[in-house]
Order: sequence, then C-alpha cells, then structure tokens
Amino acid sequence: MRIAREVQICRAFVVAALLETLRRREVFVLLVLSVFMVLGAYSFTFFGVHGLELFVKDMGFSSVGLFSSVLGVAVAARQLPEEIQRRTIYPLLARPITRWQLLLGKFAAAWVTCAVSFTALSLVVVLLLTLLRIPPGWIFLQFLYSRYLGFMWLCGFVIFLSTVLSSSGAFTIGLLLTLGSGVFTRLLMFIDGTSGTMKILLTPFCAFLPQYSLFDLTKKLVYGWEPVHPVAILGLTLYGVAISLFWLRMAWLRLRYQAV
Amino acid sequence: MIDAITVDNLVVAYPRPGKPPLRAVDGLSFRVAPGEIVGFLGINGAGKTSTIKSLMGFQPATSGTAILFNKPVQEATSRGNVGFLPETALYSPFLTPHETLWLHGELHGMERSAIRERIQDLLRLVGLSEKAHVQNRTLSKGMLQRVGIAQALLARPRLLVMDEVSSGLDPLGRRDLRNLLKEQRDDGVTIFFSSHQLGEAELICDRILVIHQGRLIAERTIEELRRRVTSLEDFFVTLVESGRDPLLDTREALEALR
Repeated sequence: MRIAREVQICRAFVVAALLETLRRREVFVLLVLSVFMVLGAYSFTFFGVHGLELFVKDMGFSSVGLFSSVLGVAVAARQLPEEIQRRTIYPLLARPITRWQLLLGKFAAAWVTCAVSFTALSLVVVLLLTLLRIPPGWIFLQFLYSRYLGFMWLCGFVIFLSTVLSSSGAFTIGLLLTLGSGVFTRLLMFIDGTSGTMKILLTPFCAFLPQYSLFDLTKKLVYGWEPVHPVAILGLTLYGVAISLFWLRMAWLRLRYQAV
Repeated sequence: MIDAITVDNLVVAYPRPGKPPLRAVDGLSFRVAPGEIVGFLGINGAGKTSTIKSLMGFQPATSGTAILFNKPVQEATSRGNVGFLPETALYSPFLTPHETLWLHGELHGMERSAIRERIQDLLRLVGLSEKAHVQNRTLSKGMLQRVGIAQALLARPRLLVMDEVSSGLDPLGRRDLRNLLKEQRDDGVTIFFSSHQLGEAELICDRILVIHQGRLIAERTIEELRRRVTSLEDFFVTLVESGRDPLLDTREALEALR
C-alpha cells in the first residue's frame, strides 16, 4: 500500500518533469548537437582521411555522455530550488505527502528525465553509427546501464547540494564535481596500490567522493572491449544504489524541518 | 464535534543574526468549528501568512500546537481533508491547467478515473475549459488564480485554507470567488482565509479573528459587529491602533487580561 502510494507520487512528478523538459526543448538542442558531432567527425573521410571509426565513435558517445551529464545536473539542480523560488512548492506540500516523498518524487523525476534523454541521444548516435557502418558492440547495453546508475548518483548528489545551496550554486558545484570526478577515481587507483591500515581507512572515505567516472564505460565501448564481468556490474549497482540513497537521506535530513 | 482547526499557544519565531528572534506569531490560540467561514484579518506583517504556513506544515512552529481535524500538522495525513490556495497562485509554467490538476490529484492519492472526472467539472466551474490545454505561462494572473481555486477544490476538501486570495482577482473574479465560497459553505466546507480587505470579510464571513504583532486581539462574529459597530473599517483601525478590542466590556476586558 505504502509502496503503491510512493509509486503514484513518483509517477506524478516524473510525468510533470518529462513534460517540462520536453517543452523547454533542451533535449532537442542536445540531439541536434550530438548528430552534428558524429557527422562532423565522419566528414573527415570526405577529405581522404581513413581509419576514423574510433574517432567517430568516441565523438558520438563522449558527446552523448557529456550532454546528458550537463542536462542531468541542470534538471536535478532545479527540482527543489525552482519550486521554492517560484513558490509552486506550497500547493505541492499542501497535499498529504511527506517531505521524504516529495524528495523521492523529485529524485525520480530528475533520474527518469536524465535516463530518457540519455537513451534517446544514445539511440540516435547508435543509429547514425550503424548507418555509417560503425556499429557498437554488446557492451553498449552495459554502457547504458552503468550510466543509469551514474545518473542515480548524480541526481541524489545534486539534489542534496540544492538543499544547501541555491539552484545556480548547486548547478555550478554539481557540474564541477561531476565533470571533474575523474580526479577522485584516480585516487581509487592510488589506494589500490597501498596496503594495511592506509587501505582500510581510505577505501570508505573514497566511496563518499564523487565517483561519477566509475559509471562511465565510454572508452570501453569506443575501443570495443568485451562486456564487463557481471560481478563487477553487480558491485557497481550496489554501490550506485547505496550512495544515491545516502545522498537522498542527507537531503532529507536538511529538508525535513526546513521552512519553505 | 471535532474542530476543523485548533491552534494552541502557537509561536513562530524567525532567527535574526545578532538580534533576538522575531516572533511573527506570538502565543496565538483559536479554534475554527466545522462549517464556519472565518476571516483571519490583520495589517501587512501582522503574522497571518506565518500562521497559515505553520498550519499547512510549511513552517515548523517554534512552540505550541496546530491541529487540523484532530491530527497535528506535522503529520502529512492532517492535510488529507484540506484544500490550500496560496496568495499568488503560481504553477509550473510549462504545464497546462489540466496537467497541473492531474499532478495534484495524483499527489493527493486520488483514483485516476476520479481525477479525470473532477478535472472536467472543476475547469468548467472556474471557466477554464477552453484553456485546459494551454501552458500556464500564457495565462493571466486572474486565470492562474482560477487554476489555483480548481486545485484547492480538487479533492473535495472539508477545509479550505486561503491566503489573501482575492488580491489577484478583478471585481468579477472576486464576485465569482465569493459565490463559490458560499456554495462550498452550503456543502459543509469550513473556510479559513486571511485577508486585509475588510469588505471582503464582511460579505462572506461568519466570524473574524484579528491578529496584530503576532497576537490575537479580537474575535467577533459578523452578526455582532453589524449590531454594535457602524463601520467595520473604523472598528479595525481603532483595534489595530490601540491594540485592544473596543467592544470589550469591563468584565470581558478583565477576563482577557486574566
């Protein structure tokens, strides 16, 4: 019963967010940009340059990843602050919903919007690459799945930021930490090389750093790797869900008694 | 019978850096019985909106209690029988009135078939059937207020809480709202609304509560006021300037002091 109610709340927010994103036309612009990136990269073949398959694939999937991450940060950053700023939060909170349900609904709205936009962009790029006879391998499905997990982290983290910062502040910091997350992933490699107490202490610390790059399989997809081992994907799934719930819980701790 | 609203010794204080907290609501107590139309009057900054925010759970009370139909406002279920209309009815600019109402119906936990049916009726009632599928950003302030009225009535509430709603409406809109409120009252809906428009209150209220500097300074029925004062405006001005109810007789004044 309670789950059904939460599903209903999430569905309501998801539909509203999808309609809003479509009507803002951001996705259409990103779609056109992605197509231009792929076609632009491929156009070099007309000048006699050959062996560009990797380059074209890289341009296509990297731009899709970048565009959807930026869109994700923007969508997640505006979910709560914009409602508060526009004062549209009042009629929403006047409904018999708890602040946790509001947060969960907003999270679901941002996540599904990111996932749908990313899927649409990726499918267009795949279609284009297939037409250009550069089809991606089966790892493409894992590329999609791991990104969905990454968006969970991204939305949870940015929504938390938006409860402590303004919309623009959450966007800026969220974008910096998302796009610069490769730095923190390198720290993981450093920890892997250590042993003993240092390793025990640093590993959990590292888990709370913005590890968005962990969910990025773009390079593996571009270079045609074999699919990642299912155990690694399972580990990534558990980590993605746990860390997203952690950030959502942090956001709730901030929001639950906050005056709006 | 269970009161629609029970407020007991409510305090809402806002922290100020380097100064003592500002007590926007300062020990407020009142009750609203089911079926009443109660006007919550006061000048700007008197504490009306802070009280309503606290009643709706937007602003946690510093101390005291606020209860809706026997449930503390901290519980989300306390709002199950409440329709709320904010001062400025702003809804997502990229949604249509139909989608806005659908969102609110889902959030309220209504069945999809019931939402569909109710939206049709309400859009007709507020005269927005033709604008049902136009984005909110293209609607005028008055039309948005009508969307707000439909939103507030969506789940057939037993209590309507409204915060200075008539401020955005033209005279025709105000008349329609008045008639709508009277219809709601006839259906047994309790109405609690804040306003600083005395004429409005006089036309539709059963009772008024006057708040000043966060405290309740008068509580009178409209019937009584009509009998005892020549002008509601004079009564209100005297009340606010002196901070004391001019209609209190010596016995009542002593009781109030006690």
